[in-house]
Amino acid sequence: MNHPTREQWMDYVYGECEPGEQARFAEHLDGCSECRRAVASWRGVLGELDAYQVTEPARRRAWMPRLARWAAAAAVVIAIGYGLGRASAPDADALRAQIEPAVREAVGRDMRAEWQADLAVARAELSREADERALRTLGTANFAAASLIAEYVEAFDNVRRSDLLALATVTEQELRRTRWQLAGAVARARPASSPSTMPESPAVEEGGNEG
Amino acid sequence: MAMGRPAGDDARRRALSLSDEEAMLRLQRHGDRRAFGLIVRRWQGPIYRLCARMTGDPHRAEDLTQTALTRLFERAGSYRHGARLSTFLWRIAVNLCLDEQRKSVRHPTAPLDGLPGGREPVSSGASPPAVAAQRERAEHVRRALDRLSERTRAVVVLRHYEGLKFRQIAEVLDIPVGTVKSRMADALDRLRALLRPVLGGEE
Repeated sequence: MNHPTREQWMDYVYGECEPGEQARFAEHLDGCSECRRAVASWRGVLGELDAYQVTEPARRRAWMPRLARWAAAAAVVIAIGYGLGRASAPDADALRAQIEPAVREAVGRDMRAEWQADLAVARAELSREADERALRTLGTANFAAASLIAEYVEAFDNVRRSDLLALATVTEQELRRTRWQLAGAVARARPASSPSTMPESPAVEEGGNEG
Repeated sequence: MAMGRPAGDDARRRALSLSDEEAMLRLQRHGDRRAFGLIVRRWQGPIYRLCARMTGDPHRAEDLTQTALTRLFERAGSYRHGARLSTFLWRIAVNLCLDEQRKSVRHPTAPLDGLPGGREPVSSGASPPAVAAQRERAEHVRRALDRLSERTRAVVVLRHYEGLKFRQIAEVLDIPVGTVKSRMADALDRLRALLRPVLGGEE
């Protein structure tokens, strides 16, 4: 008797057979106890695998993407500050102390998953906007700073729009100030032929229209 | 308690029911972050599930999910139209999980209690013993999967839990489809032995 191969039984067990095959294999099973036992045992395993369900992180609520962007920027700011020696440890600590209460008050625990998603996008964008070489060397510091902010999300209970706006303003100001400093440092480090220009110095403005 | 979502956002979100491929196109051509956000919201669940089952660690799975989606964004330029986004994304995620195993010391068991990845959906009204029994069954399966090689585990997770066809798994893992199927058969044989105490003797 020609038995179907194990690989063919996998098609059968997972319902991926061509129509003709399906019937042919079923017919084989009728007449072959060895294959019948094998298929039954495999199906038993499939049933048991179903017991291992994974629940995804909690339901996400409405979120302001801009907040994630600015908070990710704050993480980069802190990291860059360390890396360039422009922010001494106390400055960075002051910045963190400024941001932390607002973030703790403002963001709900349920938002963690959505936060992660927006943080991923924001971080990816920021690493493209700044000089990539400069940022890569700060990779470790960046992740540590970003994890710090992500940690804050754990403790949150409530979302209040006013707190989100307050946080956005704080981080936006810090971002603009430090991006200017960073861009200046990067420009000075580049070869003279580089066409990049220094950005204008930051005026404290109302937030942009993104998000 | 929840922040009210402005009506404009609702309308924008409804309007933005793009296919994955359309969303990637918008991202590539216009840098449309909202389109990418749609992809993120659609895929972070499945990617998380894959990473959770591959690593057995819900915290690590959350980090890996974020990294996978970040990487998708960064590599948006190399996504070719005509190819399925899902294949592209699954491949990124699986490779991250495989790299993760190589880098880190694997702990024999990862804690499940109180973590999202460890809780099984339980119908309301289930008794505490039933919940505990269910959790134990899940943990038993998790440990059994952990004993497989990560490449074999990847096949099981993609086929059994995420419902990918063998052909698509072959594309994701960049191996012949015959190899995918024989790995699956190997996995089921191995799992049958590992799960024997639960499954009991065969008829």
